[in-house]
Amino acid sequence: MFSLMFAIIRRDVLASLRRGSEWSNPLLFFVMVSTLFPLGIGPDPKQLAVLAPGILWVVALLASMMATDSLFRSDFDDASLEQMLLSGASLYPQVLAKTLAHWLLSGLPLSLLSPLLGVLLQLPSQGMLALLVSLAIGSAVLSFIGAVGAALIVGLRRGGLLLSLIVLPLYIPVLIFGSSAVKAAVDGAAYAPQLAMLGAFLMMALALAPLAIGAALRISVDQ
Amino acid sequence: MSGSHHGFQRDMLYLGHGAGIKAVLSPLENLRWSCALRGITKPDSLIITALAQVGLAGYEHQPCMSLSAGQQRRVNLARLFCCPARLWILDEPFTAIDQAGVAEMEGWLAEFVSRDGMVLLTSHQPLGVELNARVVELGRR
Repeated sequence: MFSLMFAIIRRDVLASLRRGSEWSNPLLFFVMVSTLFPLGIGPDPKQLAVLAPGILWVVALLASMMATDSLFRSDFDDASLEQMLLSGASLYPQVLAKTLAHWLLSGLPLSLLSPLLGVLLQLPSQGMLALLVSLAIGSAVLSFIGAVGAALIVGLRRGGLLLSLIVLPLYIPVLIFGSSAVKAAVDGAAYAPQLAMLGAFLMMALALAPLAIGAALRISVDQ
Repeated sequence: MSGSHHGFQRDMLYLGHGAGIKAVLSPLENLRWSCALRGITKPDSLIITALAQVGLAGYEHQPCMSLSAGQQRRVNLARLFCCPARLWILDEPFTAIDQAGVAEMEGWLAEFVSRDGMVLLTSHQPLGVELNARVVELGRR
């Protein structure tokens, strides 16, 4: 099973890296929108520092949603999905691997880049680690939730807006705990409880989301 | 054929209209994925032989987008040779394949059937007589 997952991750990561735009666009979006906020709000460091955790988390969430749209699109277009469903291999490890590959190229670079944007938004230095870790865990949860939505809309021609209507409400708990972890860290309070909640979300998503994704893919491909 | 649904899928190989291959990946990389789906580990030597069998020797590492439509079809057909199965379901396998290629493919089908394999295929053109296939004409009144 692990060799199957490894093969799928390798294929998806390679294909996505060679296409380029798929992984770089959400990152550029994250950087550009984050830089718009100091221009819009004004450069007052105190004000920005208060807003930074929320801004960074919301923008990261939108960037992550942007990336999910393409998760199953190319596999649907070139009939790879058909092959996945007909291969006789269990769908669970397949979609788990696909979602992990997607996180490796969207959520992970996003969280690695976030401290840099934290500096730009005057986020106090004690919040940096919390930002990085909470985004790394949180974006994995977002990838799983987004994958359920992406699997549902993959058969539709213009599903982009529908995707956001499906997944944004489900993103809310992740956003609440993620940004509050960063706020707690900035205030010097313990932020481990929030991270633990995010970790719990991730465990639940790892266990249950692939089932939902698999079922949604079956529906989309059968049409 | 195995009785269970899962076993049936393991014994069956389906090639449809969609190529099922990624244009940015090479034939080798594409087929590694197909083999992994069928539970074949360490498939590289198997894939290289299969690609040689369909006449794509030397193209293993070229990205598929640089191949012609017929060659891309052949990458897809190479799956028949690296994934063991007992039933082939082929949806118009002769599209984008030239006349010599069609004769070659019929040879593969005959060879597969002689090894106790089964083939179910749709086609716009008549099959070679020596295949001795049972033909159902669809849409004819």
